[in-house]
Amino acid sequence: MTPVRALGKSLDWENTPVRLTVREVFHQVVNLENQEGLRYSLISDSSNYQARSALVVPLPRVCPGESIIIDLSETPSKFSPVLPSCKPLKEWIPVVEDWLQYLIDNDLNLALSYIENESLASLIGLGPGKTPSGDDLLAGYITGTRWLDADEACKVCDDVLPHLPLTNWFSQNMIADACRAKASATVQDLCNDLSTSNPTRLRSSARRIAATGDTSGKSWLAGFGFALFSHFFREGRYDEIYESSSR
Amino acid sequence: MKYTRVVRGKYYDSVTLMLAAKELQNIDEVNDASLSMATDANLRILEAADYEISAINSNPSDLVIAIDYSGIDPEEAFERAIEILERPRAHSADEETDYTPRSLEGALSVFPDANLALISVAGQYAGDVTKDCLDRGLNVMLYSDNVPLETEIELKQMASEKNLIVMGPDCGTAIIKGIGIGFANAFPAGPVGIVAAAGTGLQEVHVQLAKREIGVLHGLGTGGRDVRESVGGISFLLAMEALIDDEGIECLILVGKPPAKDVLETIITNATVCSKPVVVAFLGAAVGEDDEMNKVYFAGTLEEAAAIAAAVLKNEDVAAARKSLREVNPDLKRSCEAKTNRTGFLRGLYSGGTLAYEAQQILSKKLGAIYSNTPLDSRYKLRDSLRAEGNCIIDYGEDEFTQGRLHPMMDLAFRCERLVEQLEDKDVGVVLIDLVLGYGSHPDPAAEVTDAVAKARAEELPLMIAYVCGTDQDPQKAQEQTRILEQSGFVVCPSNAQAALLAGEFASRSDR
Repeated sequence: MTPVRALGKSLDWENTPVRLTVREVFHQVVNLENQEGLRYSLISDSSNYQARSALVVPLPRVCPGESIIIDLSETPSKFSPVLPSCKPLKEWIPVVEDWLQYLIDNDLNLALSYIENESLASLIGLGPGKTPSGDDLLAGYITGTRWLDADEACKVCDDVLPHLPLTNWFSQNMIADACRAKASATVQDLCNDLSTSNPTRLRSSARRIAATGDTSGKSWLAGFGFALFSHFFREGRYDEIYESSSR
Repeated sequence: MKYTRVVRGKYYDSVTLMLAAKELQNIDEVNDASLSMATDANLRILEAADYEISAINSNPSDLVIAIDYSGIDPEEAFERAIEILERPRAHSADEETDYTPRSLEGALSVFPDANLALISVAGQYAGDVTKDCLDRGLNVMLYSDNVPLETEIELKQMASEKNLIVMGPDCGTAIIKGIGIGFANAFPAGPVGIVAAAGTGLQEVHVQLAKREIGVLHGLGTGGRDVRESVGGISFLLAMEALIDDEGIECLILVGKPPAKDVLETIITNATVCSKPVVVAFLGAAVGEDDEMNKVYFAGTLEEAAAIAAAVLKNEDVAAARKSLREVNPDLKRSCEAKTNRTGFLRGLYSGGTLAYEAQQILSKKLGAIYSNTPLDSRYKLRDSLRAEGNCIIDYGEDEFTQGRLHPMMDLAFRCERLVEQLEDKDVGVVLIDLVLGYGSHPDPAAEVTDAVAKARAEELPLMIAYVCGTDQDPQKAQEQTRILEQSGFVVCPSNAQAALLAGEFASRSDR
């Protein structure tokens, strides 16, 4: 058993000891893998909460490849990794449109045609980066679709999930979690801020995502933004989806 | 060995090109490297640096990579350049501090209280973007240059009808509530308001006030053409009105080249009837007598404008504040005398347009003809801006040097090349340079200049005089930059005007 001082965990972290292998060690996050290939994470900052994560102070000194057992049965659940049920306000349409620009910035024009032609699986593993830009875009797109149209999201996920082995382990988990409607703390903040009239908060949550990695966050936002348009705007249900703001 | 190669239809911004060139220069076998868009001006500069350009078949939307190498396959260096250009740029700390919208609509959604837009797009598109902003009730700081005069007039008339202001075009400096925008220096806000039809003129007055412990609340640029008869000073007069009405402002300073007669009359009338002291510094204009009753004062230099404003605000004697500035500082003169025995022409290598203009004003009184790419008198226009003659001031911030390359306040490479040439020229007795510090400028310009001085091969260097336009709160810290320049042999003056005055003492007269 690896002793850790856990202050909280996500609701989906088991209440029994879990055997995990250390995959990646970063300054604020340790990524672990269970026997089924699922990613677990130990985090040192609550803003990094996501699916199967635990807030641990300090992070344990572990090395990639090391096998550890973590028991968080006594640790309280502090974070629910699910997409919120709110809906975006119409006033933020220009902001969402802005994110589509990242498709061009990140050389993801090609991705747009894949989405439009419903060959989403072609995005998997596309582009450079720890999480290839195509994977980030796809995860954002699935999250956006999940948030606004669960039926449509099911179709997308059915198309995509069989092709996950085409990308790396971390991306596989990211996309699979999006299909399960799981959302990190930053994504939840973004959804919540899109549903309220507070530009300062929206700037803050969008910035946090956009600043992730070199292109990852921006690609994710591009996919997320595109989801809002491709699934609702173009189907002529614009006003139905974007609730009018009282502002 | 010199190598050039054109990359068709590839556009990169100037910062990317500068960083890539610097990285290439770090390769031992690369003596020098230049990456620039293939504009006529840039090709001429390459030709002057002995690159073979006659065979280059390019247009301004192509990229030219020029490499001066020894002991390396130039193709390898070229491939390295492409690799650097294609590499994703690392995030800077600034990029992380706030969310960056990508469109005007997006920006206004997340910044609903914004009332000022800074526009920096190619001149041909600037008109439409500015109209769009004015239609949304935004004041505009128009950084873009190459905006047609008729467009400028149309935009300013449109803005005036909406009680908005267009600062620019070609407006690179502004101060709003003490915060610098564009090229600007750092100093806490204070009771002064500046209206400037001159970018580095605004910076110099700001810096000279800072030296006197006085801050600026607002500094509004108008673009140099605003005070011409054709534009009629629309923005200048609006800016004056706004600052006069601002309760936080106790004294106004007006800066620029001489306005058209009618515009000047209106400006002076408005200054006379307003309730606040106004210092007028239109460089080269006939300096009027101070109107003590209405508190309108006339300054001959930018430093003098700041000194008068400081005296007025501190309730001190204006005449005394002026007197000390009009003669060469004896200590500095002694320092110069101890430096060198070399005599000859003066060569000024400037990055600040208004500073170059002010230097010419001062030097021409002492030395007569001053040749320049931006001369006071068209008879003294340089036949070739790349070849100095006689006593000469070159403004390297002029369009001819900045098309497709960074402004010399950000990238000193080209100006330093020319500096080395002047230091080695036996006809040169005095070299005069400015270093403009502040946000947007090069992080350590004195180090670049010091490297250039070290490269010069001359038995005895000419007298080197410099002015550092900056404050100690600037990221580069004026004191530190001054120290570096002094260590490499420069005499550093406390103002541009004093630097020019001092340089004039040691240069020979020239005639073509």
